[in-house]
This record gives sequence, C-alpha cells and structure tokens, in this order.
Amino acid sequence: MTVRFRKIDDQNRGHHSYLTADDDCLFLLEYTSGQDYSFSATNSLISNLKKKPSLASTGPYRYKLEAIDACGVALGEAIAPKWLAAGTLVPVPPSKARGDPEYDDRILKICCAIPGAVDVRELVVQTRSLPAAHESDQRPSIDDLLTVYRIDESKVAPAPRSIAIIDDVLTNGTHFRAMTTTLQHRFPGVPISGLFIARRVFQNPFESP
Amino acid sequence: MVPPARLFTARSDGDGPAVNPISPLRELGAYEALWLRNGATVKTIADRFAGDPTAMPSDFVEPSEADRRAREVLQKLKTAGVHRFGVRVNHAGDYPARLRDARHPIELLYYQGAWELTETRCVAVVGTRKPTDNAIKQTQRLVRALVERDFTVVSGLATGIDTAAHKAAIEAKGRTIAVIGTPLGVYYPPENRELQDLIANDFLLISQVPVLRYANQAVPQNKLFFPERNITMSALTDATIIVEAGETSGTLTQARAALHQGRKLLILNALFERADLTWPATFEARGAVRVRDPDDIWKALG
Repeated sequence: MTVRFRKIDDQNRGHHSYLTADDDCLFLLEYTSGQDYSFSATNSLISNLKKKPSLASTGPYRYKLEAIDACGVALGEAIAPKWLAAGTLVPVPPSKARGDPEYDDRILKICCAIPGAVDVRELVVQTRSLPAAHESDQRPSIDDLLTVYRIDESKVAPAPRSIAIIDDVLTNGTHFRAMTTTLQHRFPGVPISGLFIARRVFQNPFESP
Repeated sequence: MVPPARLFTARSDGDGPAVNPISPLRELGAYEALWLRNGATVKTIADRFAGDPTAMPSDFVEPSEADRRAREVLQKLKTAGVHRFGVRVNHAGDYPARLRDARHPIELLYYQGAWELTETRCVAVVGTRKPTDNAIKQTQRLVRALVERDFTVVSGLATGIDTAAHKAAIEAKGRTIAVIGTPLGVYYPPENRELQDLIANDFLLISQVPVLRYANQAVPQNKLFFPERNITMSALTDATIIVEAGETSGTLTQARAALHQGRKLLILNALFERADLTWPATFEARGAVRVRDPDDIWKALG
C-alpha cells in the first residue's frame, strides 16, 4: 500500500518544539516516544537504520542496508516526480564528522536509494563530531549545530531551485531548524521543505512535551 | 452505483515535493463534515470510498468547511479534557490495513495512547453487560492466560465483561486496548471514567465515533455507534472470544463481523450448554471454535 506524506499541521506541531507554522515538514510514519516494542514496524525500521557502522562486518548489519533501501523506496513513492526532476535533496549530515569510525552516512544513502533521485547534494557538512542526538542526554542545541554546520561551497553550483532536507526521525526539529537556517542564509528565497521517514509522538496525551 | 464525484481534489501542493500530502487536521474536519450530512451512516460513507478507493475525505468537502469543522472538533475535545490525541487515516502511514477487512471500512480513527499496541498480537474478549459472577471469574482467568502468552487484550469498555477484561489485563501487568462507542472525552458508562483515562494514558484508547455528529444527535441514534465499534474491534484483532452473551446481545455483532472478516471466533463452552441460547450452535456451524478446554484457545490462536 503506497503511503502518502502527512503534513505537520496545527494539530500535530506541538510535538516538535522548534517547528513553526511557516515550516513545510512532511513525514511518512509515526512512532511513540519511550516505547520499545520490538513488534512496532516503525520502531524496528528506525532501530535498524541506526545500527552503528562499527557493526558493518556483522550479520545483522544487512538489516540496516535493507532499511535504507525500504526508506528510499517509500520516499520515492511519496515524492512528486515533477519535483524530483528539478529539486535538490539535501541529507542532514551525520553526527560524526567524516573520518570518525562511527561516521554514518545513512541519510545520504537513503537519498541515493530514492528511485528517480537526480540531484542529491550534501550541501551542508559538519566540521566536527557531536554526540549522536539519539544516544546522548546532552542533545546538541540549534546553536551547537549552527557552530559546526558549513555550506560545502564546492557543491553549490548550480544553485538549487527547491530544497528538501531529508532526515530519518523528526523529534524536536533541532536539526531541521539548524539546516534551514544554514541553507536559507546561503540560498535566500529558495523554498525549503523537510521530509522525514518518521516523527516521534508522545504516548501520554495528558502531558505536555 | 456511480461513485460520487470528487469535488475538491486540489490537494497537491503546487510545486512542493510531496504527492498529495495529507493534512491530518483537514482530513479529520472533512470526515466530520461527511458525518454531518443528512442520512450519513457508516455504510453510506464507506460506499463513497468504495467507489473511489484512492479518495480521501477532503476530496468531498470544501476546504473551508473541513477546516472549520476541524477547529470545532479541537475545541470540543479540549473542553472535554482531551488535549492530546492522534488520528489514523486511510492512505497515510500507520493506518492498519486490516481495517479494510470490515464490510464498511472506517476511513479515520481517533486515538489516545500508544498506537504501536495495534501491532501486537491482539485478542478481543467481549460479552454481556450483565454477566454472572462465574462469567466474570472466567473472564479474569482467560485474560490472565492471554497476558501470560503475551497477547494484548482488546475490549469495548462497556459495563460487565468488557470492564472485567480490561481490569484483569492491567492487574496482570499486560497490555490492553479499548475500542469505545463514544467520542474521545465522553465516558460511558460514567463510572468507567478513571479506567478510560488510565487506558488512554498508559495503553491505547480508540474511537471511530465522529465528535460533532455525536454531539448533535440524541442518545437513541448515538447508541448505534456501539455495535459499529465492535466491527472495528474485530477487524483490529486476530480473534474474538465471547465469554457470555444473551440471544440479542450487541456482542453478536462482533461475532458476525469476526466470521465475515476471516478472524477467529471463539465461544466458551458454557454458552453451548444453556438451553435459552441458540446463537452458539449457529456460529459454530459457521466456523466458530467451541472452547471446551483452554488448549482449544491456544490451538486456534496458533
């Protein structure tokens, strides 16, 4: 069954504190924070995606590769072919800088696995490693990210006409905000969307995030 | 029947990256608007989508009306104390494909709690609102055994067997899902308020009942939502177990739905031995499992 993107709208934006009504963010799946059900398909997909590169020689690593392919296909079915032909897909850079043994370019690989993806560009690079947000109590702030995000000037031509930032999980929107700020500064006026495999929601409906 | 024409299919986001992106809020409003139309029933709404399988509620409702209805729903739910909830809508991710096995599939559901519970192995335990003491004890034993085998226990939060099933699952530290016949934030029976809030908080509460239509019509019409939720409960689960039910019980709606949807239907043996009941034998002849021994349950559930 082909799944269409859902929008972040007024009903669901509260789960993502750094998003505003001006942000165009879309997602395919939802998963509930704090739940670790191995039987949740989305949970399992995300956990497979995040298998560490240091496990590359182990058998279960193939689940990561399968998850990357599945995400690419699912995104491909939900992205408009017309947009794909002219737009630029920009992966959120890995939390570890290139050269770090745990450098994990899964988001770039997902972009490359999207059938029909023409323009996948790592326009934003990270100059040094930060703890991965999903592994750390000290999640990087927007300012932390802005300090280490740089535009890769070797990749800016031709100038993008429309940008989709790609990431696996939307939590507070920290990375999206920092990416958007960095890209808007370099490419003013270019429309930017965020496309996510999944967004995190809260189980307890009576508590604020 | 000629499918009703889509009147408002201007959903594609112009030059944006997504194919017909779904706004859950607008779909919710559009779905509520469809329910407010004269003569709308589960069947008439399902027929509309059966005739146009890729349609969404917003294809049939003017955007301004959908958005207005959505705001009304949010306001009403907020007034009822429901500050956070989610929806599941056909064609978006996380909508359970098994709902399409219903004769009149539901396009949109409201929920509170952890939706992931629907992905566990779910068994419905249902029955009469006026159970015997023995039936309550049987329910408790059955539910404990289901929890031990890691099944999620699903029921309808009604008085009687349903309440006993939910409570026994929670007491046994298992998982439970309530599929209710009222909108979120409405409690029936009122004495189950605490239990409903607990399930919404710690487990999963599901409602297919349209908030505005429910508020706009009288109790007798709203009673129809109860048997309709039994059909959804069956569709969401692998099997339905009936502990005790009379000859005209609403539970039998779920029994019929289970067989129609290709789900297992299990009926406890004591019901076959009651001279006043003919339905157990009728359903057995149509494929239901007669549970003489607990092993009959585990064999049927596989």
